Amino acid sequence: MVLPLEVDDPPSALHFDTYVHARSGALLRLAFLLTGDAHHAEDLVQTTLVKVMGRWEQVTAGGDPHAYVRKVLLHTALGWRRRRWHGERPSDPLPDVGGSPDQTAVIDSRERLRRALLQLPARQRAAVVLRHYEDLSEQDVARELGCSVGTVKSQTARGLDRLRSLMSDEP
Amino acid sequence: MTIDDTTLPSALRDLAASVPDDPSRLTSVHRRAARAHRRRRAVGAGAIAATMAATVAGAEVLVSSQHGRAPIAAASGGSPSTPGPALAACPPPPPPDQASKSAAAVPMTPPAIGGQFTAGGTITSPGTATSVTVRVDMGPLDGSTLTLAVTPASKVFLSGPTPDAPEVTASSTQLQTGEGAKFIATRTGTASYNLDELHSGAAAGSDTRAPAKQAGAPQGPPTPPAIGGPFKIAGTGVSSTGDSITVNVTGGNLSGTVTLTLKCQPPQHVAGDTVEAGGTRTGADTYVADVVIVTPATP
Repeated sequence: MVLPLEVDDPPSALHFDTYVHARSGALLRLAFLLTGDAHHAEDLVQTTLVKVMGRWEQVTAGGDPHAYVRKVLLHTALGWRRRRWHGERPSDPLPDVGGSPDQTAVIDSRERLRRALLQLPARQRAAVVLRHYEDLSEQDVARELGCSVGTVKSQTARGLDRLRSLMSDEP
Repeated sequence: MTIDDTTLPSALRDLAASVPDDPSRLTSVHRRAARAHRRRRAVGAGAIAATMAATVAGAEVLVSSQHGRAPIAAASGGSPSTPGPALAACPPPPPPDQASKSAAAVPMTPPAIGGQFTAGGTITSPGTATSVTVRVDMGPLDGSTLTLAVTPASKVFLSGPTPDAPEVTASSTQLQTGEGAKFIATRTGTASYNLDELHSGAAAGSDTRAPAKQAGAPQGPPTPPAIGGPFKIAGTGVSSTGDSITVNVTGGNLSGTVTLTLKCQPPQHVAGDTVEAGGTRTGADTYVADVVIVTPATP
């Protein structure tokens, strides 16, 4: 998913602040799928932006910086997995939103998907999210994750199977 | 809810869209970046100050341990221009063999095995995943070329593209020959050292934080210490009075011709003699030397 930039400048001239305004929302949504937590997602996005801010000229020299920033975010998230506890957070019972039955069902299915995603191994989850949310090709996902296309295929297939299984197990 | 290739993307989009956006993100990012930058600058300044202090302290120890030589006595209180009581004569110069050794020996305060030390220098070969080679020109082991072993705990930072840009984390393989470097290392054996942390300048001349010399690059005038900060110089004597000596500086962190207030009476004729000194900058153009070594020029 690539949002159009709201600036006419060429990517090399793209100002950091403009980029943050235009694209950080997309980064946040990706981060949320990777972390499953809104606060961690915001922290992840800010950490990523601080990392790339110091070398912004180099980052933008190669063209549209979004792919690079997304990669930094992805690897930061995977690095966090190694040193922070990311166990599932208790969320039962589901919050009483007090809306119509349709709204409750939507929120319920979102929550089930979020919890199911969190149960995937980090790299498997990243492969699924990049492939099916960011809509990247298998080659691009392999490049982002630094693995082979075959690995991406197997990780994505296993991830989907596991998601299906987890979603069907949920009441 | 069923999940398949066609429904998963929309379900993921729906889930992703449920996260609330933070309108103050940009401000938070700038604040975090500024905080990180200040922290790195504080660490860098601390390392430089520690290196200078260790060097001057090392010189004092070495000088006071040499026979027939002692550090010049202190100029107690008052402004440097205030005439004080007659000072004791400065100690005689060291014997020729010691004098020849002193220039190289003064900064040599090798750390004990297991000890950590801070130094600066120039990278002499491209860094590898396992080691970095640095020619030290500041701090302990000055003049030596050290091969620092890179361990998983080693941290390497490169300066940003501009002097004001924050440093970025890097790997040792990104270090290039000729770059200036400040580093903290631990001596692990007689001639082995582990790299703990290294800060390297990027392009020549782009890093004002790195105090080390750029090999082969034209050198600008050194940055003098702030008032109250330590200095260490080497140069040629120009003239002397009862409590001061004027030196044409050729090395160290001062430049030009400076007059140092001494703590003893220097020789009457110092013109052409080699002078090494360390002390404190006390004003815009005033310096008090705690340690001075005057070695007569070879006849």
